[in-house]
Order: sequence, then structure tokens, then C-alpha cells
Amino acid sequence: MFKRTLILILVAGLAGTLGACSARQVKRVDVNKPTDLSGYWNDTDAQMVAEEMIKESLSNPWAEVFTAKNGRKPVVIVGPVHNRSQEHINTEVFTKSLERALINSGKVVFVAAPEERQDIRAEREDQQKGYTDPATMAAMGKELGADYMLLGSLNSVKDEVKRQYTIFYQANLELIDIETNRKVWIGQKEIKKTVTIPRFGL
Amino acid sequence: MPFRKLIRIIAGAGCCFLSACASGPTVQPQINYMVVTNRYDRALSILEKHQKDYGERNQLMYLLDQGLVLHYAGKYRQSNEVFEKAKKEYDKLLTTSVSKEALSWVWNDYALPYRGEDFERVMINVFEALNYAALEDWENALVEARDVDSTLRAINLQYQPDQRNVYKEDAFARMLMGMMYEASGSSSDLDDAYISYQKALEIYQTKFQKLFHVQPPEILKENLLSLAAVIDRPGFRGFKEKFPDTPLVGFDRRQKNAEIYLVAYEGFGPVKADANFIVPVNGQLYKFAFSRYKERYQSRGKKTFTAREATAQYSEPVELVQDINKLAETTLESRRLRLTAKTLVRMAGKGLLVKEQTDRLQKNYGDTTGGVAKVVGNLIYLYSEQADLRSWETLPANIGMARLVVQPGLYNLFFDETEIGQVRVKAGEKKFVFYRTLK
Repeated sequence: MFKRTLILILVAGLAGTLGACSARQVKRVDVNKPTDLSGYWNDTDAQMVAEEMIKESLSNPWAEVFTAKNGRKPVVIVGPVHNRSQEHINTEVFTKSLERALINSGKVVFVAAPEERQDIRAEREDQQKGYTDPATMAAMGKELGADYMLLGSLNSVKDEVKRQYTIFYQANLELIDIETNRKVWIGQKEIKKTVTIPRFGL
Repeated sequence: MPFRKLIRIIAGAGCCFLSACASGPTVQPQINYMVVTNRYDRALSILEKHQKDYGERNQLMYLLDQGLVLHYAGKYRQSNEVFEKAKKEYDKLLTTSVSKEALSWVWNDYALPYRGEDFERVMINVFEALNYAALEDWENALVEARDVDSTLRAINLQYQPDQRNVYKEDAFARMLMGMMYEASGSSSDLDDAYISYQKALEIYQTKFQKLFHVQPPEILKENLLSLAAVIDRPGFRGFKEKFPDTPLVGFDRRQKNAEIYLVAYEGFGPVKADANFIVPVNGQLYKFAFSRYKERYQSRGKKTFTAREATAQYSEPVELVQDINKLAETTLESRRLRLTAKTLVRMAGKGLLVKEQTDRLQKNYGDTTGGVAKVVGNLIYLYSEQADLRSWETLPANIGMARLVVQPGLYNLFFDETEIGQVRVKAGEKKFVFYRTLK
């Protein structure tokens, strides 16, 4: 009985090991379909944050108020969105979505962020070197000054035991008047997940 | 009879198939040698060429080795990409494969994937933080600080509060993360730095001193004092009394000047070795397969870290901040009881199976067949009964640190009398430099 059981375990072990062999599978899915595989921050989280921020920023009348007062659209520059969580997250994924939605709404003008400006300035300086047709050269000293800066942070709180954790994310974005430091809009999105890692698998 | 023949065929085939399940990769000593002779690209190419030798069950070990060699080589971003994969692999392995576990009860522990020790999981955060520090990317270094905080909390919760002689906190990781918080500079980060330093001090003074013989480093006491002087005057008075010999390296002075931190990786970490013995009982051999750690390096004397420029020289002793030899040994010892129980069950089961089968063969087919069967059966048994000797072998034996507060400028750096590099530092900068040594 005992040795039969031992042999059955040996065969089961072999079968299980062999069964793990299979060809890689790829399936295309809709961009909007939530796909939570690991429990870490993923594209669904970034999209949820972006959608909420877009909705809140477009429903708040800050842009219309500025236009009514100054006769032109507000100019916004995207500043750093600090990652204060415990995962390496690219915050550009939702700031770019927000930028796109605001530009497409026609209410806001965006100017290049500091990192983007370096490349553009290098190109402009290169155009002054004498290789470019003067009629098509971009003039120096004509950068548009921003009225507002978009700043933010992503924070997280994790409660963890081995193989199970709850994680709470809070994304905050603020629009700040560059001249007066006044905050004209604050957007916030909170996400909470519980992840359980199974004790046993095949 | 056909059933028994079938079983023997399956077992035989299984043994051939599982011959890979009797050892781990053997390429680490070569890689270590290349690293300490500064041939990093060679080390990396050997590693990549031998990825298949690691096998599907040792993917985590491959990623740990690769991540660390990339760090030694100064390829900080690539190192972090690999360590991030290692974190995910570690999480995946939290799920025990039932089939592999079953196999390990009848074959040996090489049937199980290499899961990494708790302290190795913490070292992933440590090396990633050091990579970001080298790149002066403090925001991402702090992501590691927060991650290691919740990792250590989860490790701690596995044990009873009064359970000693187990690894459940890491003083070095806490101290390092305090340095990362300080480097980031915002006022809330300074609060976090202060908390990290205090935790580090407590762990050094209680567990690390007792278990690993590592004293609270002077750098930690200096940083704690200088921060307390700025944000916690009552606490400052308490620390001043506790450490009367520690100088006050003013916080302002540190911000106005520059700091150069040396992280020295000394020696080769311990490797596991066989500690087997075989006993005959009732005409059958039984093998107890155990492993123990073998130290490959003993620290020899005090070292100094020096920064020299045309008109000035700064020098501090290199202090022991993490003893990986002792960490590894403590971790193995705390699992000794569970490992022993499993070995005994497996050893008894296999031994009995071989004895009963070969006795039956002898009874039915005569002494010659029985004799041959006994020899073959015992050979397979003794071969299969192996202790798991896998570990993260590219780790150093211990980690030392030194910190210099210097005027801004260009400096040549020395570890004892060996020149190890050159740095230019500006006011308020914190520069991390690394050195791999066998001395």
C-alpha cells in the first residue's frame, strides 16, 4: 500500500511536470477590457485615473472663467507628477491622456513640458546655424509662457501578509496659477484592490 | 508481474528524465572570478551563455545573479529591469506547485523551484535602491524604500513576536532607506528618514548585534544625531547621552558640502555544502542528506576610504554594516527542523521501497538478479537523495560602508591604498560609489 502510494506520487509528479509544457498563447483584447493578471498597477488603473481626471477637469469651469476674463485660452504646462507609491509607475500614461483630452476639447492650450523643451530648443538653435532657409526658420524668443502648471502625485498604502495584500492608490492632480500660486482645480482618483496569491497550484 | 515491470520501467525512465533534478547550475564560481578581476562583460556573457544550465526551476536564481552582476558592472538601469523581473518571479513562486512538491517528497528538493530566502528578497530592494542612488534618482529609490518597508512587515508577521534567532527585520536595509529619504530632501521625507534610522538603530542594537555580531555603525549614529538636532531636540539630547563619543556632523554642514558614500562588497558569500551520512540498517543503506553553509571569506582587518584632491584629503574607516555569511547561516538553521523532518520521511520511504522490491526480486528470480537489482536500486537511491545546495552565490560575504563629508570639488578615491575611481561633487550632492573587493 505504502509503496504503491509512493509510486503513484512519483507518476503524478512526472505528469504534472510534463503537463506544464505547452505552446505560448497570444490573444488580442479590447483596450477597454480590464485585465488584472498580477495585482500590480496596470493599464486598467492608469486608464481609470485618466478617465476620472478628464471628466473632472472638463466639468470644472476654470478654463471658461480664464477665457472670459482674458479673451484667450489658458496655456498649461505639465509638470512632474511624483510617484510616491511602492511600485515603479510611469505617471506619464495618465498625464498624456489628460493632455490629449483637454487639447481635443478646444478649451486649453498646452506647451511642451521641460523634458520635451530641450529637444525643441536644440532644433531651434540648429536652425539658426545657417543651414536652414531663413524664410522657414523658427524665430527665437517666441516661446509661449504658461499660465498654469499641472502638478500631482500618486500615493499608495499597502497592508500585507504573505500571499495576501490590500493596496490603496490615490492619484492627485492640481492645476496651479504660475503667477499667483492659486490652485484652480484639484482632481483625485482612488483605487483599492485586494490580491490573494494561491497557496497551491499545479 | 507486468504491473511491477511497468513500474520499474517508469521509475527508470523517470530517473533519466530527472537527472537534471540532482544539482543546480555550476557556473557561479567562474562569474565571481570574472567580477573580482573587473571583467564584467565577460561575466555577463558567461552568465547569458549558461542560462539554459540554470533550468526552468532556477529562473529566480538566474535573475538574481544577472541583476547583481549588472549592478557590479555599473549598468544600473539594466540591473533594475532584471531585479523587477526577479520580484515578480519571487511572487509567482509564493504559490507552491503541488506536483513539484509531491515529487520532492519522493525524489529530492531539486524538484522544487528555487524560491529564494526572505533576506534575499530584501536584498533585491537594497540593490535596486543602490542602483537608483547611483543614478541620483531619489524618487525611484524611495519607491524601493516603501516596498522594503511592507516586505519586512509581511516577513515579520510570519513569526511570533517573541520568536528569536530568525531573520524578521533588516537593520542595514532600514539604515540605507533612511539615507535615501534624507537624500530626497523634502520635510516629510526627513521625518521618514528619522523613523528609518531609529528602527535601524533598534534592530542593530538588539537582533543584529546578538545574532550577527554587527555593531550599530558610526554613520548611522552620526546621521541620527544630525537629523535629531534639526527635527527632534528632546530626542537629540537622549541620543547625545547614549553616544557621547559620536561627533555631531551638523545637518547644515552636510547640506552645504557634499557627501560621498562608499558601499564595499567584500569577499564571496557562503555556499552550501553536503553534510550527508549513510547508515546501514537491516541490510539496507539509508542516506541522510543535509546541507550546511561553508564560509568562503573572513574579513581581514580594518579598511579605510579616502578622498584626495590637490589641497585636501578626507578619510574614514569602512564599517561592517551587513554580514551575509551570518544572515544565510541563521536562515538555514531556522529551517533546519522542517528540512530534517522531510529528509527523514523521504529517506525512510525510498530506503524501504528499494529494500522491499529488491528482496522480492531476489526471492522470485534468484540471488544474481536480486544482487544486481540491489546494487542498481541502491545506486539510484543514493544518487537521488541529495541536499539542496542552491543559493545566491554571487552575493558578497559582507557589506561595508564609509561616508565622507567633503567640500565640492574633484576627488580621487581610494580603498586603503588602491585607487578605485574619481568623482566630481557639488554642494548638497550625495554620491554613492561602489567597490567589489576580496581584501
